[in-house]
Amino acid sequence: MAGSALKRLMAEYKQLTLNPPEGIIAGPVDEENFFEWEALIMGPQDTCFEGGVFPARLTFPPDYPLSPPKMKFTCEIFHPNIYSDGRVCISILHAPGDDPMGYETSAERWSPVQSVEKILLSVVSMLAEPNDESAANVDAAKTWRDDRNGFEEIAQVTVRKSLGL
Amino acid sequence: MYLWCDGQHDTPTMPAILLERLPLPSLRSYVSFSVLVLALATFYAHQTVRTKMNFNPDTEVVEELGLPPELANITLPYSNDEHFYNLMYVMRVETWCIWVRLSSATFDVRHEGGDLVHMGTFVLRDFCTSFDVRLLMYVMRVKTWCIWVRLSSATFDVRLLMYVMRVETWCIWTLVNTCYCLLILLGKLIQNIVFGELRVSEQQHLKDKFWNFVFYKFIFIFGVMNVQSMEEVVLWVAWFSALGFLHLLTQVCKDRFEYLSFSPATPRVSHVKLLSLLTCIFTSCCVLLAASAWVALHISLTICAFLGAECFLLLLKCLYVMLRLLSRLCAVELHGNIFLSMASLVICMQLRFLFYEFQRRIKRHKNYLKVVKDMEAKSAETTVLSPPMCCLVCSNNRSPSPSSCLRSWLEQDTSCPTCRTALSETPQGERNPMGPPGAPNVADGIVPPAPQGTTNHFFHFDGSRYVSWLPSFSVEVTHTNLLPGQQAHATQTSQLDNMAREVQVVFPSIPQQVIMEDLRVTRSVDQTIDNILEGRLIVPQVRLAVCATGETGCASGETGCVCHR
Repeated sequence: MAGSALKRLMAEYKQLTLNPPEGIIAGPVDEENFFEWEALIMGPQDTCFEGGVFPARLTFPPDYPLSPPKMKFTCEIFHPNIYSDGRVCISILHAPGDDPMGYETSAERWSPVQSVEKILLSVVSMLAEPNDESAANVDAAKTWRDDRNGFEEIAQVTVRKSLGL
Repeated sequence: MYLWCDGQHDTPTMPAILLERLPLPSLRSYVSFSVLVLALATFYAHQTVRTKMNFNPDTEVVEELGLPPELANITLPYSNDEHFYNLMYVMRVETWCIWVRLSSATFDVRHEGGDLVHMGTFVLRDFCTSFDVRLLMYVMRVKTWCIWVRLSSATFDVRLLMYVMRVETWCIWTLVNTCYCLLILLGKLIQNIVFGELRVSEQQHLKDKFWNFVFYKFIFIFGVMNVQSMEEVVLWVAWFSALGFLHLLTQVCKDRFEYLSFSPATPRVSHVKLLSLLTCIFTSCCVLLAASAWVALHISLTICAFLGAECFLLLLKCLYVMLRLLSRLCAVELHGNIFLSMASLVICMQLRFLFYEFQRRIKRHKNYLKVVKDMEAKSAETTVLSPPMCCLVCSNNRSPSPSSCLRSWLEQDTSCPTCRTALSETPQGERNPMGPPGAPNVADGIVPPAPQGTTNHFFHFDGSRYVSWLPSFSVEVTHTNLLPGQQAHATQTSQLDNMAREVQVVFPSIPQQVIMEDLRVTRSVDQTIDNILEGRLIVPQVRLAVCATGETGCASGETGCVCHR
């Protein structure tokens, strides 16, 4: 199982380096261990996260691509769909069997034809448009809904922090 | 402020530890001491009565003894020593005594020692009005030769003795001490009858509880109530002694009951004994409660509240132990050793969950086998349609068998990895256990039968139709169908199937599910084909949605669908 996972991960790495999508850099942390990736995601343009570079870590299970990887931001980020410890909560990262929130249709869940690139792209779109209906970070969702300016200010602070300013 | 929640502290407190070191006398020595003191007091009182009392009863004594007041008014001709003559005088003078004389011709008692004994018995036998007897007894007590008469009427002597004792202070303490001694002896007796030898833990509990009780009651009497007069202290102490006695007995009962309920084979007798003792305690509690009610009526409501609350607590505790004991006795009679405990309930729930989990897994596996079989049967026909392309799952062009990757996915979830069409035979509705809403309200408090084919029950009760204050409520019971293939889509007719197949021949890349959806609306092959050509039909691409709802930050999906349907 791990053999096919490794092959698939290597193929995806190759694909990502040959045709890198805009605003995303991803690759294994260590060439020896292809199951731990690091990704840098640039904040999408025309959003409050614009200009920021957010590092994240992807952990792949041995039975990848049958099971989804786990994704966790290693920087501080205030977002309705990101837990305060950095874990990302999007449906594409949920295996079809489990449904933590109870209202995701299986069409939005993980499937083996998904890829790292698609995950990262959907994370970018998530950054651009948070979904406050199934919030992982309730505080953030509340701020996003009720106090958009405050949310943007906090986002700007995170952006600056992510750049080391 | 501490009030009365004492006995709940089971750990020995500071004073308890200190007091435990005090050398307490053994029960035997204490009892003998008490008896000795009591005997001394009695002797003293007796002496007092003998020397100080005379026949000329002063008003106080008459009242004290409950004698009729006219007795005090009789003037006696003889000296104090000649009581007998005085008696005779009284009898002669008083009209009510005349017939005594008349009735006995030989009634010559002037000779001392003659027929006096006879007379005494005579009077005792025939004139048993209390006045006569008392008067006679009074005389007889003073005269030494009347001993036997005196003995036969011990009650009278005791009353007199008590009177003396009440007057003398040190005698009071003797009496109090005697009461405690009796109480302790009673406790010992009960212990011997009901409990037998107390176990070490029971003794320890008893001791702790006793000292706690004493300590807190001491604080209560002198600290909280701030009792001043001696009489009040005595009363309070008496009350708390009774209460404490019952408390301790209840505690021992509780301990013993717990011990009995854990030991496998206990004789029925010990249970019954315990129960009868508890009943006694219960009754005493009720009596005490009644006493506190009396206090409320006659003295003060505050004190009654103090007394009553204590009693009530004790009553509750006693009742609790009693009920537990009774339930145990009944349960043993009814079901042997089987008890419905919380633990078994929890295990049952767990097993139920496990059962459902099993059912779900088996269903999934059956589904998987079916799909794989179906896939293999169809792959022979469809290989022509699908051009050689790389495996989407493992991204390997030279995958030995593309279906192995797919199969391992299907083991997890029987859906197409690309378009997420469910590959199971069970209809889509089964995935959404909510189902369609139930039948409309039939607002008469009736259970309307659900429409045929669905297993939903809807119950509505409109109470306000009948009485204005009745509540209205509705209950909906939804069954999830756990067995596959039992419930087919009503609309998925064979006709629709045929139409879908026609469309799929033209557009093999469009999943059947989507075509079916459209056909259900259009009901015509041509119109559906038009819809597809004009792009009105949305083919579900791999939709990337943020968490639950429809943020479709979509990435272009592969068009080649893995499911060959």
